[in-house]
Amino acid sequence: MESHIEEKLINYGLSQKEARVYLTLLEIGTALVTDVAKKADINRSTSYVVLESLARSGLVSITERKNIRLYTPAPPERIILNLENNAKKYVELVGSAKLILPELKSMYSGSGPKPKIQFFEGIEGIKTAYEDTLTSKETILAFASIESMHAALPGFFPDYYKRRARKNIKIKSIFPDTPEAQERIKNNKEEKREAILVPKEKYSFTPEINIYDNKVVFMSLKERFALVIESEELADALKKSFELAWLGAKKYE
Amino acid sequence: MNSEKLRKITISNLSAAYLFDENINKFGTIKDRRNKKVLEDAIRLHVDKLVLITSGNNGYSLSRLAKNTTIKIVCIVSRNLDNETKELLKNVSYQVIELNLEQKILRPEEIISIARENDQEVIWDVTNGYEESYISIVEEICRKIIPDYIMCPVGSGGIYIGIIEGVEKYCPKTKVIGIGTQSTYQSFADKLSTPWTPYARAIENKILQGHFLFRLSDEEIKKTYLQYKNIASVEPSSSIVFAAPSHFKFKPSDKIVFINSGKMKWK
Repeated sequence: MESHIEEKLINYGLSQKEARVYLTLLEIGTALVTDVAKKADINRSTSYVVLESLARSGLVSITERKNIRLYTPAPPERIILNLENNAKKYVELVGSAKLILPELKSMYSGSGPKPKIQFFEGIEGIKTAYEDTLTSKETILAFASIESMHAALPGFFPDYYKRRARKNIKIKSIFPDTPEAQERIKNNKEEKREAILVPKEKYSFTPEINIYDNKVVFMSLKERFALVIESEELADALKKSFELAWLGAKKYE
Repeated sequence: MNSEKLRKITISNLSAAYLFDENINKFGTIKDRRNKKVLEDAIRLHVDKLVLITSGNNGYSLSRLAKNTTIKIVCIVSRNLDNETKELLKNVSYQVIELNLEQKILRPEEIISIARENDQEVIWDVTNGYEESYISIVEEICRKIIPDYIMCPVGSGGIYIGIIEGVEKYCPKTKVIGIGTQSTYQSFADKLSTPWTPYARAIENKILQGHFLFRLSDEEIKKTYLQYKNIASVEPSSSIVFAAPSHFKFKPSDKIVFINSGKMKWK
């Protein structure tokens, strides 16, 4: 029971030794530091430091008789009062933190490039992500599954390919080798595409990953969401990973 | 007055200009949004008193919203504020304290200590902060149209930053054009002139990211107010946004939203 109470007192902000000394003092009443030390099983000098700390938080009062310091526990209600005071202090801190938030945000914005992540849900969200690829200033690098794309967004693609080509945005794609992919790559020239088909038995996948400029776009065509990450660092790493994959895929050409 | 929140307006030669009217809010101003959030937090955390430096709208809105709560609202106002507004604030708030605000920039601790009546009170200074409350404006606009530009007034910059945060979330290609005052004290657009703002650095960063800010002379603010005072329920500090076409070359096809930050509803 006592250790349960000791734990509670620790939760209320007392140290383990403070909790033990306060509970000891509650049991024995007014006492000398030596009595407290003995009963609490803590050495005398530590007990002295702990009692002084409890006195500062109002949980112990000190009287002196003939140059001897006596320690008396404050009524347990003092714990509630201390907690209430702490609660007030913390609520005031919340208000004060709200005020410095604009300044903190300013510092955060000014700390150099930081990754920006946009999450798009549903079919319209995926379309928004595809539309963003049309802002690319360089060749898009893509892992894509033609049948997943066409199944998820029926009617969107022929037009998308044309619009990309009109904007002169080229694409390098790695596709699982399927009849749909074989059919699509017949249009590679008009659709400004360079593609390699990889064995679907070994490398089948359904999402699309596009890498361009400082962006990496993940499109889950089954779970219907898209994630656009703007990060120079991540885009650079994934461009290099794509080039490695491209080199490896060449053996299937 | 038209009660539609987002409505088409005729202004300059713009073919797709819209007004987003915050005067429709319960107490007439854009500040109702942040004050609702301020009060929700204060009630949840059992704050006793809220204090703010105000030139009218913010203090009025907060006091009216807090009317049926136990939270005391203390308005710190400039001695030079017009008597009508001072009287109005006295009628709705717990206390109005008049100070020479042009002489000193008050720190939050000083503002709290001015409002403190006893040691037991939990007091928040809510002069600034809560700019995230304005993100919902962009969400509401984007439900109807995706604008190319959004115009908003700039005082301390909380609204400007909040709107840009909304744009980053809901329409990243939209640009925000803030219109503020050149004067830092006693402008004709009295709600906007401020000697100091915690948003200064954030505003600089947003401009670097491609948003815009124009600061007008009092003469131009007056001219704009006279020209547009009947377009909606506006005051000089809110009509300032209509000066944007004189400073920025829009394309005829641009979709442009002017935010009317509103003015106090007196009854």
